[in-house]
Amino acid sequence: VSLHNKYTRALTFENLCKMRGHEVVCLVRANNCTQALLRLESALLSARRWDPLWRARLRVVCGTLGPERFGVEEGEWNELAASTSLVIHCGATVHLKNDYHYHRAANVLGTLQVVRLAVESGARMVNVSTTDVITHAQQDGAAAKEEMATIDTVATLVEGKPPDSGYGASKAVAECLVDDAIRRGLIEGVTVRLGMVVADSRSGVCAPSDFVSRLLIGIAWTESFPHTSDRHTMVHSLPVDVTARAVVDVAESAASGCVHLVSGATLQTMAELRESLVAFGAPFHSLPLLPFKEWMERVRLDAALVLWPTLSWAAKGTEFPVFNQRKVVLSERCLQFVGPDTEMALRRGFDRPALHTMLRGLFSGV
Amino acid sequence: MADALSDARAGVASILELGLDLSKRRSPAGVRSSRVFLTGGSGFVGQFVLSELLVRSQILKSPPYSEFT
Repeated sequence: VSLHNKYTRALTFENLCKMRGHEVVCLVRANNCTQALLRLESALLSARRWDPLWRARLRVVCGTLGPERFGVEEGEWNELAASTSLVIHCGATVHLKNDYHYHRAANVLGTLQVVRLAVESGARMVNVSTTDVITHAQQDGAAAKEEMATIDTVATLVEGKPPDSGYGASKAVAECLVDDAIRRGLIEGVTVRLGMVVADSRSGVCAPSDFVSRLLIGIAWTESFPHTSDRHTMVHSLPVDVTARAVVDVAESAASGCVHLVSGATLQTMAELRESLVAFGAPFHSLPLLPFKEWMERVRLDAALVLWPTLSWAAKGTEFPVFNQRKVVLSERCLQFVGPDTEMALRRGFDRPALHTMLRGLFSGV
Repeated sequence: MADALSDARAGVASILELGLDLSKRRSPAGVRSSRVFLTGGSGFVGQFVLSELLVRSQILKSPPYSEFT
């Protein structure tokens, strides 16, 4: 095992001992443990990340985010609290067109119960959040600060906003709860904010309904590309395998407060994206440039409506939307909490080889 | 119905009001177990976090002690 100097400081011997031969206990929505294990195995098989040897180290708790103690029996909860040394809270409801109340049960009440488990178990807590909590008021040209959301953040996210932007608000409230527990000395932990997460850089496995997947499929189906300028950059993204590795690195480290886990690569212009797509070949061929309005009309007329549901809001504008306005950057502070291989992968971001691997995954059979 | 601001203002007070017995709370130094609890393990990011945890569990199962000292 080779450990980078600065990583050695963060990845303490104590934490390594805790991780050695550990079991992983997953909270799963299922009627019984057999169904729950099958659900996890199916998910990992689909992600091409399952090893049958892992069965010996994988446990499940049948419950859900929202109800008190996840809805599990008191005895099972007490056993969980007595045996947990690290809590990683990735679970969330995400629907970008629904309001706060739609997200509240899982994202707010669920987080409360995760905090409760961390308090009772004395476990370190990693709260996985999102850069969607960063408000425009925090931007002002400078990089977004790695600071936990506050009540003011929540106020900015909800005031004057349409009711369909409840996801970010719910995650900001969750951050407030975790921060409150830390300030009260109830738990020790860290909030990790993720930006756009895309396909596995090794297998190309992705979530086809995510924005980047829809954008790439939509471009293929329109057989064209919108006119853009250098202001128009591709959504800054990070492969899911790199994201996961970084989350676990941070979990094992002594990181506290808030950490932004995002790509450290230079922003890629949309023109550079077009070059990468053309270099990939079919189904992208030559991708002729079209005026934005004309291109959006092709998006609207796509019979499969791949991209329209997530980009229709931009149709009112006169040009392609400008992404990456939150100015979230990979900080040197964040890099102190990850290993050398993860650091390299974070700096590489979602590069052309990773994009082409994703495209092979999306268009296999085309 | 509670809104985002009132939830944020309430903080973790609600779980304290639910009867969380802080006297039973273990201090982090007292944690001797080695279980990782994960929520969202079947979601897109969560399944990769889960596999990463399981991979590390195998790798670190029997590490030569001297390598960590």
